[in-house]
Amino acid sequence: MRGVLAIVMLLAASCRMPAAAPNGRAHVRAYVMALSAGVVVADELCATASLRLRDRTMALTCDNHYQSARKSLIAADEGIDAGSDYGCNIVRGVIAIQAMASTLRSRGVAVPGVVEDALSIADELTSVTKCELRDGA
Amino acid sequence: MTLATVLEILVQWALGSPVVRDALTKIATGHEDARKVLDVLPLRSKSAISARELSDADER
Repeated sequence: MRGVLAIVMLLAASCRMPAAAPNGRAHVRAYVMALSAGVVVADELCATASLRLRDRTMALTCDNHYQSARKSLIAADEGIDAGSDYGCNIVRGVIAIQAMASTLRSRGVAVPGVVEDALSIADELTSVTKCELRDGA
Repeated sequence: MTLATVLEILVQWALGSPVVRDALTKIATGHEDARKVLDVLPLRSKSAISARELSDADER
């Protein structure tokens, strides 16, 4: 419940992101692709596990997080190309993949390395993007 | 110096340019299009497909 509250608070935040230097941009692009790979694997695991467990709620929850991650990461990717703000879209993508991992763990499904790797760079991503999340926006 | 020689020098110069090399590499590998998030994450998730399958199974 606390995790859900934290996610809601983070999503309800406003943010700003200065344009990154080209070198930073290349790193951020690589991060976004790593996150996307993690989302793909987490989705596949959710799909398989929900069928095995006959858990439609799990499948719908994962799909909800997947759509959130997809929307955010596509917006981030476009922002990188356009040289516009993308930091908070990346952070929202991280939050979504964290939620997918939590859903998997809550059903006793081990989270694989590619998802763990995507999660492990979350802290670094936050510092790179300088996205400041505030309540109420 | 013949026209062919001049053209050859110009082509060699262009191929030696990092900008031209980079552009040619991107064209050859399809790099610009190959690594888009849009291509990696399809609109319909596999979780959504599973949810639909479970729903259909319940109806049967």
